[in-house]
Amino acid sequence: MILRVEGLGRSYGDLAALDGVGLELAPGERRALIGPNGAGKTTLLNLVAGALRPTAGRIHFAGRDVTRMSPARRARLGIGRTHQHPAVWPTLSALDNVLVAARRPWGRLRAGARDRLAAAGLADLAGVPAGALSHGRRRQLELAMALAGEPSLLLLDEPAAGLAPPEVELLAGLLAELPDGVAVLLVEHHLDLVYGFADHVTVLHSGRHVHTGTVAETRRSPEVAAAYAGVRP
Amino acid sequence: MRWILYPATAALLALLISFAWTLNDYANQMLARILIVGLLAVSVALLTGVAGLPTLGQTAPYLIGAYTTAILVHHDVDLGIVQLLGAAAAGALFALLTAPLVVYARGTVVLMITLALGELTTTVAGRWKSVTHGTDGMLALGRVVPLPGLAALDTDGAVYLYTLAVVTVLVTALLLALRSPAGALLRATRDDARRMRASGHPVAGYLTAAYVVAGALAGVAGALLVTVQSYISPNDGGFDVAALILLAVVIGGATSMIGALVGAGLVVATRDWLAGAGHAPLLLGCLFIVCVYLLPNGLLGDRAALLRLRTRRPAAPPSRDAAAISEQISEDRAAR
Repeated sequence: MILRVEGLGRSYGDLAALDGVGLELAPGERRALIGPNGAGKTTLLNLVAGALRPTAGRIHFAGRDVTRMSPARRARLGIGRTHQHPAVWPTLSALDNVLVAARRPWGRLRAGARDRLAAAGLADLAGVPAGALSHGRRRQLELAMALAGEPSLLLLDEPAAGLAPPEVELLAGLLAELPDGVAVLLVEHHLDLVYGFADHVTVLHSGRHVHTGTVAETRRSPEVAAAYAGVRP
Repeated sequence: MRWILYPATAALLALLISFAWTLNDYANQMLARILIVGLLAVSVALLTGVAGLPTLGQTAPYLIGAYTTAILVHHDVDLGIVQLLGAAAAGALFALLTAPLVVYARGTVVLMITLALGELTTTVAGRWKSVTHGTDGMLALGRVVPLPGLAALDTDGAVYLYTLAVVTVLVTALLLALRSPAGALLRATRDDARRMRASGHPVAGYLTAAYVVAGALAGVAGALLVTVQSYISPNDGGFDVAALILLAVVIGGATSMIGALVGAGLVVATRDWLAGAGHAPLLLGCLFIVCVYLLPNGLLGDRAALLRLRTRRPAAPPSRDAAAISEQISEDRAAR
């Protein structure tokens, strides 16, 4: 397993944003994490990335216990991510954003970075400051940045949020072309995108694990239907 | 426009060099002081505009560099390069030791911590009489020999040329460094440190490196001050100086090293030449207000920031609810 999460919890006072959730991801697996608002999806992603410290449980990545590691060390080990609000460096050009995200000497990287921008549909915008890009373009850029670090696990936090339907189609195409060896944990509300992308789907509700199964199993699951209908199973 | 940049820079440099022969001693000394304030302003701009660490404390390594040079002069070390390296090392060491207090903080907190460091250094300089001669200050009389084999600087014109050469070399080196990946890493850290950590970058390490380089630059500025005025006292690095430098950086454009030099020139000229007796603070205040209103990014500030301002595109994410903000605060704490 590339990622193993055991009994993971995060509380804010009396409020448990995440309560004893377990999760396992195989190398190259495409896993979607869904659930209604407040289910704890982004909290789980932040805990795995190291942006939040858990109040309970352990996180193992590539055979190492990373529970107490800083976000930067986890990234260097191979955990890449995108954010709910696309996080780019606005005063740097799109190309420099990818180069900085790659963390290696630039001389040999420049051509590779241009290829990554082209693959993300941003070939013509390499010299444009990232702060001048539209929301959708920033999402594409952040995906290219996350891949530039050559992660073995990619955490995608609502990449379709705020995108127009044609942009969601473009995003689906980009997700379909992600490298086979990269395991992906996708948090997303756009269920068509989820069902078209994922091998397996995990459902959270009110900070708890409700269901994990294939797309077909998830579509049929009464627990999932209940969670989305607002009824706790 | 870029084609005109190099000949224009060469012409400006030739003009500045010619001042050593065409202007009188007083003007040469004043220009040398402007260059020194300019170098100090560059160190502040590096931290404030490029690394995102707004500072009022660069007077601390400035004073430490100046006292180091004065002590070297007292020990008959008249070689300029040794004085400069000694002052740079002292400023850099001070920065390295105080970096843990500065690089983990952000915004106004950095401003307050660096202000405290500057004030503490001024106080120590005023009280450690056995080393600094206290508030009486230290005389440092001696002719500087820039490099082995060169003549000693025995005129104000020669001292001005020496100052111009040192400032030009250091600012050029810094500009080249900022055009390299190192500059991009610092600007990215300023833009979004959280994203840098998520990409695996050691943010505190980068900020420490910038802080140490800025400390070395300020130390060199202190050494040049001693060469120009042959004297140093705690007042040369007091709060007035710190505020004046920050003003110069804001006016010139915090993201531009050349802007910091231009801002320093404007501020010192306004204070010492244009203002009548007692009117300098009033004129500087007016200059500051005009610049803030008309040129929010300074004279030569970040054009990308200006573009953002014009298009009214929000630089920050849309407002979020209280739970998300509380989560963000927890994230930041965890990341430290």
